[in-house]
Amino acid sequence: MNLLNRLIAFCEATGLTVLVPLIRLCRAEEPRTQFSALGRLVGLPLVGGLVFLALWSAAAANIHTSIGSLPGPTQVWNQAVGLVREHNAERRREKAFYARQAELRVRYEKAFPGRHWPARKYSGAPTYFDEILTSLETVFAGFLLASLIAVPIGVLCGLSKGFFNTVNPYVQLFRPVSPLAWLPIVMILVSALYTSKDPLFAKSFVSSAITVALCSLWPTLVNTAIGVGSIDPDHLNVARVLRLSWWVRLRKIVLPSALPYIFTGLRLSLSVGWMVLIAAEMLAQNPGLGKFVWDMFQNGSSQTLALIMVAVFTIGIIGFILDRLMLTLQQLVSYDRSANR
Amino acid sequence: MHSFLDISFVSKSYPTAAGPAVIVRDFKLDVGKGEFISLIGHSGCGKSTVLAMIAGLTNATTGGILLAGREVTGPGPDRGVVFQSPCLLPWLTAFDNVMLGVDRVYPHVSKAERRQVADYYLNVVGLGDSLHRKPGELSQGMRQRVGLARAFALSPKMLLLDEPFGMLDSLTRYELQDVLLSLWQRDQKTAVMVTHDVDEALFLSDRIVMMTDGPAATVGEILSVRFPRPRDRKQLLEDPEYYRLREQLIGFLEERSHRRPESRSAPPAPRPDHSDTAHPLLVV
Repeated sequence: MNLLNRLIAFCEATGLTVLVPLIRLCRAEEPRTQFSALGRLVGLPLVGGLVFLALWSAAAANIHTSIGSLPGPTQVWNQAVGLVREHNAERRREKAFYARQAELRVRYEKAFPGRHWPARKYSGAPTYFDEILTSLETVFAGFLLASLIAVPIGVLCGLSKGFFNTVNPYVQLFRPVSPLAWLPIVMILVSALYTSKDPLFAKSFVSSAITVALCSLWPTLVNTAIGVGSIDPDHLNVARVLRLSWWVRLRKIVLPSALPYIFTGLRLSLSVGWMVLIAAEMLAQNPGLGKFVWDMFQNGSSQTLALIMVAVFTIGIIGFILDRLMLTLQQLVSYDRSANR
Repeated sequence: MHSFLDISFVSKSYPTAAGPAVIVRDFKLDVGKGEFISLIGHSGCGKSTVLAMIAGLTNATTGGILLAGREVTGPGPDRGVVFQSPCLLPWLTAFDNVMLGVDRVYPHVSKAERRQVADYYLNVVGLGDSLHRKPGELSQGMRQRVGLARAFALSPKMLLLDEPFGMLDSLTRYELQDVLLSLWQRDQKTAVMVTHDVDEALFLSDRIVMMTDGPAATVGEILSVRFPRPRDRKQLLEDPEYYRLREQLIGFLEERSHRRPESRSAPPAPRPDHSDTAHPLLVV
């Protein structure tokens, strides 16, 4: 019983509310209410999805473009399956390559004892899943950079009216700037300044990550500033009565109090970052989902539209999952605000 | 008696468009060491302002406050404050809330001893079982117990209590008054409490300072309460003297508090603005 209760709490915290009525059904809890909840949480979205698919198929059959007719749901699904197959085939080739290498190495070392074996890396084209991974790495690099910049500045803004007034006009000025405007500047600067012979990261990766950071740091900055600025004056009085040092006050009162706001900001930042990333990758030619979409567009085959649609759905699903993860984190750090009264 | 807390002719006023609004004028009071004083008066009469000035949370406009021979210039842990709302930090457990102050006051004592102090006071207020629960999991009364433990654990020179039990139901209030009284007796602390509860003031205090109505509130009359200590609520309620004093207090609050030593025309007191003004950045 207790386990099921905990499972329900877990589902509610992680946004898997769909499963809650099912769990409740398991312990035969008012079946009628649970079934109506299931209808609401599962049935209605399902109906919506079916209507969408029907409209899409109907539209697809009637729209003709320069590269064939608009692909319907089945074609898109087939392309998705094709991408998975391609990925598996590529992995098999890679495996076979390394198996052959190991075999060769044994023979080489037998023939030339003492000589160094010139190991070679497999250099197949990145598969769709490699591209997804690159995109995730890039967005997290950018997001991390944005958070490292935005949280401290936001805290300072919230703590000091003077600092806020100094920075605020520029926050307002740069916040609405599109990633497409930032990217050329970032790319030129990166190629001018990031000139290592053996770079740890590719230039395209660095440019994309910085662009993501530039566009996604604002929500975190603004929310952190609001969170720090709206600390309960009673809590600050506690700090004054105890004459806590600046550092202790920051650590024990300011940051914990602002944490729910900060996480709201981080959640918004990550979703903005994910959106910006696709555009940044397209232009920076960072081997991720954005580049995939661009390459497909340039390629112009009869499969192009279907493949781009697969990418669209992938981007949507990953964005949704990222948002859910952040929402869960946000709920974990929020506390009962009313408990002070 | 040599005064421990010397409040001499303290006034507080805020500038407004129509000239300064005087909240408190020429408030004068000497408090002996170990004395328990209550400030009583109608709400909005400035009693909390007086307490905040002793706490150093606001500065007096004129006049000065001496505590143990030193002038009060700002807040500090030598004055344990118990606010009307317990003001616990909701993200810390009861124990950590108390430790926050203890760590600050005893920086050179070992961690184990500091933990003992916090542990001791939380046990004395009756929270031995709930040390590691967060304020959200505690009842109002329990939260205020943590507030009391936090104030006493600082080992302050004096205690300042701002309507500490005003938000509790009367049964819980009685319990906490007993807790406060036993702690106060044990530690021999000087205490100043703001209240508007006549019975609470009579039960706890050595002297009750009745304040005239604001604006420009000041000391109206002072009532000495000479019941022997330790006090027992039941015994007190059987004492005819108790009802005589109670009569006197209520008489003051109902009639004489409105009269002022001399009539002055002062603009109405401005209400402190707590409304959350829209944040200019709140757009995202």
